[in-house]
Amino acid sequence: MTWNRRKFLGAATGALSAPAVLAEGSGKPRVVVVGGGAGGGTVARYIAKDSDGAIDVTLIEPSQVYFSCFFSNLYIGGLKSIDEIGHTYGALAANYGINVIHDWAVAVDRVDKNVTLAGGQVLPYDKLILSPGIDFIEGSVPGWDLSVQTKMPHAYEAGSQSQLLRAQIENMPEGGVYAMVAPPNPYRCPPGPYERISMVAHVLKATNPTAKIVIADPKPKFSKMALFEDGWATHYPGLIDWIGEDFGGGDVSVDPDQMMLTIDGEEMAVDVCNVIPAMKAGRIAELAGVTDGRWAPVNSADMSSKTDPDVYVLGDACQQGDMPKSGFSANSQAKVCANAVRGSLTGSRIFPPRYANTCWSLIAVNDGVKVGATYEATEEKIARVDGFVSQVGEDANLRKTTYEESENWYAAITADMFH
Amino acid sequence: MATGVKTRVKLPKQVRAGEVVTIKTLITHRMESGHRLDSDNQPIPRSIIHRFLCEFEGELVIDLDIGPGISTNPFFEFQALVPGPGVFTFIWFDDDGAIYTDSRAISVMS
Amino acid sequence: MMPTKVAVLIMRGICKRWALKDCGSKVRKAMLAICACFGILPVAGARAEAKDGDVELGAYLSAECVTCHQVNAQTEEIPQIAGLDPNAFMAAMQAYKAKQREHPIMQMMAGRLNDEEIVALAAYFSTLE
Repeated sequence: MTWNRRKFLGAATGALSAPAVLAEGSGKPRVVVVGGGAGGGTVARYIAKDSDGAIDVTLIEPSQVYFSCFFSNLYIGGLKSIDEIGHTYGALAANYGINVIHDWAVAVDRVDKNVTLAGGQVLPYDKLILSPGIDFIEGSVPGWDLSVQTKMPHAYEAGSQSQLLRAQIENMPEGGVYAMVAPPNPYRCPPGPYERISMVAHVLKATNPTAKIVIADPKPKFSKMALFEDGWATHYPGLIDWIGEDFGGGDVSVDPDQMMLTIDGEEMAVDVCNVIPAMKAGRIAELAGVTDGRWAPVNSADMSSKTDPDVYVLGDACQQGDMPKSGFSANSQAKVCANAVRGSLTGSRIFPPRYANTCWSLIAVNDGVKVGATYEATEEKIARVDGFVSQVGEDANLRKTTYEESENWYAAITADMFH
Repeated sequence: MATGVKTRVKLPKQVRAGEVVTIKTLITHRMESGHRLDSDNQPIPRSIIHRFLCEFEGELVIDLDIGPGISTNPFFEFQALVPGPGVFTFIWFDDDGAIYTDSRAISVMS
Repeated sequence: MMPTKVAVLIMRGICKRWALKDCGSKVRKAMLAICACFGILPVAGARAEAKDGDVELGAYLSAECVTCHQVNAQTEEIPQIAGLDPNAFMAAMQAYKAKQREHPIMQMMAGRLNDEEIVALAAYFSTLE
């Protein structure tokens, strides 16, 4: 057995049985949150808001403006502006005293309990909450890597990638081909690729009706499949060609220089190639040593890492059980986590965990559908309790109401994250 | 006439003589059941693929009667014994009189 | 008898409005809910009055509501929370729970709230401006 610094410090700390380390200066317990999305924004806001200044909360997020992945397909479809899906962090600082630092977290020392930023700053923590979202797995689509994302965008982290994809679609030649390489399970936002197809079809139907859409999919079926297929047949007949696993949709490679896509051995020229690769937890989770394979396993009771009780992982990056990787799920997990973290640092009441999710998708203008479920913590995982899904053949008014409801939800959840 | 109909077939290109192969077929089709109402509460006429046929060198492999309960984009997967080289033919019959066909040649390893 | 009669009349209204096919057990459940908000029957051993609710529990539970319902902003399809009448709120939750009132998300969310939790939410909401 070799003694590295980590093991040695771990042993030393145990021997001294030191009490919880308080932050230098303030004397208050410190929470550091990495990632300012639906998980990180919400958890920082709830801890700061509900502890009323008793906990120092620092939020580390590289971007000054957060563009939500949810509703970014509506931007691609021309139904929302980029400003409508962009949010800033000013209110979190002003309203709740959260220390927002725009930088990358590059290292986590779980023995000394601190986070190092790219700028060199070292932040001590009592509780660390990681909500870094996703990274792409290199090599999952042969021919594609991050260096070609400006040619073949993923647009699965919203912002400039969404703008690039929208511009490429608008500039497609008449009768051109938009191709999507869909991701394997599990991935962020299960209905997301198919809502995107709907929105691309919405644009092409109006501006480029002889264009074609091809989807190469490694899965035999997908989220809300019956609803999407029915909607596509209604709104965009003949426009969309979905090639699933059964027809070789998982056997794909791309050539970005030639703009060629090969599906099941057959090569085709494409004008836009939207490659959504396989995904894994955002890199900081791996650097912190809390991942097992692609994701970070967590305890269902409070979202704490199975590796370290003082580290929590929220949202897309965690492996929790039955909840889909969605903004709604991350927001729901963040509230359970905030309650548990606050309780352990200040002695406030800790209530039983409860989780929920709803995902709305837009198939065409005013044709919205939704799927949702509630979840409970079991010993083993976060387990599904109850749920619902929109039905094929619902009347147009209900679909319109569902879409309007999703817009209202968007206003509410972004307020819940940022205001 | 139904719009946007496209057929898709997958099977191995080469097999051993006497081998059983799995064949997958799909046709993108609305499969309008005839039971739904439009926005003016008028029934939408039935328009489905009502029959699917597969033959190998003129010999029947499978012949299906299809009802209005089958969902959009019917997918069929079945197995066939391949006695020797030849061509599989696939035929879909639409309510509107249209007939869609596809075919695949299969060779046999020596 | 008077309040019960009122409740029965309201129930008839509800049945008509939602055109229920099978009213039997649903009527009984909704009757209980409506009687509860008239203060006739005890619910789960506690009188269903907002003032008795556990405000702190309600605050925790409300986090689940505000993902869609803003506290102080009324949107087209989703009502705001502030200003809700506690009794109307509790009756609405019981009606969703009993699937007397239509809405898949609300039926699901209310469906797992027990009576104590509904009262706690009402108690917390009545503290909001």
